[in-house]
Amino acid sequence: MLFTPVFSCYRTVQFSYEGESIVGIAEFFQHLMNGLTLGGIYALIALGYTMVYGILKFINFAHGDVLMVGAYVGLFLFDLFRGSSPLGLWTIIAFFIAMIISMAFSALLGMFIERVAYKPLRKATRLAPLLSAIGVSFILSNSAAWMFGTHSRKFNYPFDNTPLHLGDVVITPHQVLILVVSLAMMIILKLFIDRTRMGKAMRATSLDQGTAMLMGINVNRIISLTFAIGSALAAVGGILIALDFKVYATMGTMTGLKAFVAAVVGGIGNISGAMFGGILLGLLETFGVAIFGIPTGLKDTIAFGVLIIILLVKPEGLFGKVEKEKV
Amino acid sequence: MKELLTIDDISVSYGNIKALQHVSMHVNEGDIVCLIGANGSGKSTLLKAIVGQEPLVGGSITFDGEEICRAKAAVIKGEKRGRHLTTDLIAAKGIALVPEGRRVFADMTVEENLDMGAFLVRDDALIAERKEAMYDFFPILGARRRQKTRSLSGGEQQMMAIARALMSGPRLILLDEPGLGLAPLVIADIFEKIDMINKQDKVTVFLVEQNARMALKASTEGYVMENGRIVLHDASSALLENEQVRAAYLGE
Repeated sequence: MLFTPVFSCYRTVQFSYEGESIVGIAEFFQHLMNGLTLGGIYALIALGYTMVYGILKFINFAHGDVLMVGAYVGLFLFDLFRGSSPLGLWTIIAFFIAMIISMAFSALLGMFIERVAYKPLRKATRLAPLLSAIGVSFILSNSAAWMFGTHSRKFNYPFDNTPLHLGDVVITPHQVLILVVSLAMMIILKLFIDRTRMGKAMRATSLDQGTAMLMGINVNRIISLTFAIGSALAAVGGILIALDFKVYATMGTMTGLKAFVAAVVGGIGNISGAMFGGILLGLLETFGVAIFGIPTGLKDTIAFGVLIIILLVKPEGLFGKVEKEKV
Repeated sequence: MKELLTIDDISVSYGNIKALQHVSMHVNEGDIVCLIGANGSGKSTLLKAIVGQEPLVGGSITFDGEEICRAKAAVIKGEKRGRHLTTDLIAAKGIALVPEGRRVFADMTVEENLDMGAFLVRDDALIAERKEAMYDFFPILGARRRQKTRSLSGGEQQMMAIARALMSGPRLILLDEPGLGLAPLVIADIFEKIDMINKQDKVTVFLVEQNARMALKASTEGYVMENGRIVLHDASSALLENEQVRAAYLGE
């Protein structure tokens, strides 16, 4: 099994070791599907890190915990809306309504955190908001543990999750949901950033804050908007993860860190980079375990291994630009 | 003639260094006024103070009869609190700054840069009309409208920065060293455009330049700054003949 050459997983389809096929096409597509699902979620969360970094040059370490809050809000609202109705059209609608309200709630939470914990420190040393963010992260996860308990909860499926068989590839309906929702969110975000007046103003602000102000752009409002969008996407990410795994108070920690790695891999501050980095990381984790034979227990080390390699080889990330310090 | 911009006894400090000391000047509506002075004499600091990017330690700035900045320490008309509009609100009053070094949004296209210049204009038809006017006025920008601004030459970027400032439909345009680092022919072209902006579009121009000869020839009134103080103020034609100016700034 360990024979498989690195980075040529597709070629191994034809290759065999001692006459035994290593990975079949069906198995390959199965892992591809799983990797894309996971990667889509990482990408959604990575966008929040990268957008905030692009404008404020700071890593919002509370982002992962906003994701957790979003997942809880989504879970409670979905159960509330669903009541005891059987799976059907209404449960699907209820799921999306719960998701949208959770996005709005998380957006407000993100703006509130920025206003209270980061804005007063904008002129302080660069370390100060970072430490403040770590503090906010603990406050959120401990409050959740205190309010909702430390046990993990299952997010009820909004629809029948009987796996579909496409040939030999098994896809669960909620994998399809995750893929469709994360892709739709990324497309909407990209259109917003590229086409709309406020989206362009966000880009201008991240390129040159002082000049953006000269254009009449209210930079404080842009920063609030950035936190709102990033947090809303994190809420979606949290709910999608909750469908696949569980909801618990510290669920945002590891996922948040990995999404942060994805943002760095793609080039922090770069929106397309974060999308690409997230999907790449999802694929690497899935294929790392399934094909390269990395033990499941070490799965979480893949992301951080990738982080170290990127920092050594291409510290600005795959899509990042080398930033010159302005004097 | 009506005073559009009045700078009343302002001072700006960077720590212990006094960048501007008791500077007073005014710009009349419809004029081209220039400020000349050596590198580091405080010219750029003055422009930054006007747009609210440098806090005042003394004095006040009035635009079109409305006080836009006042130092905290200054006690004027019995009011003890200092106040100033933020940069985006000053821009909304109709002051556009073309910053030193152009500061284009390099990763955005020419068209997107112009869109940013018109950020405060909420009327899509008017924005489209102004963009077309800019492409007519600076044909090179029209030809490159879909290119990233970083691919433009220095002179083209300067024209882009001026066009971007004009997109807001300003009443006063502040130009910080528009000729910096450009070839003489390009500078002549840019100064010709500045004159047209003033004559045709009736935009008041306040020009800061190290290139004293170009600036004085282009303007009606001139100020000379040395070490953060205004040392001379006269009609530009008179400054061109002034012994001191000729010796210090015109190399004669």
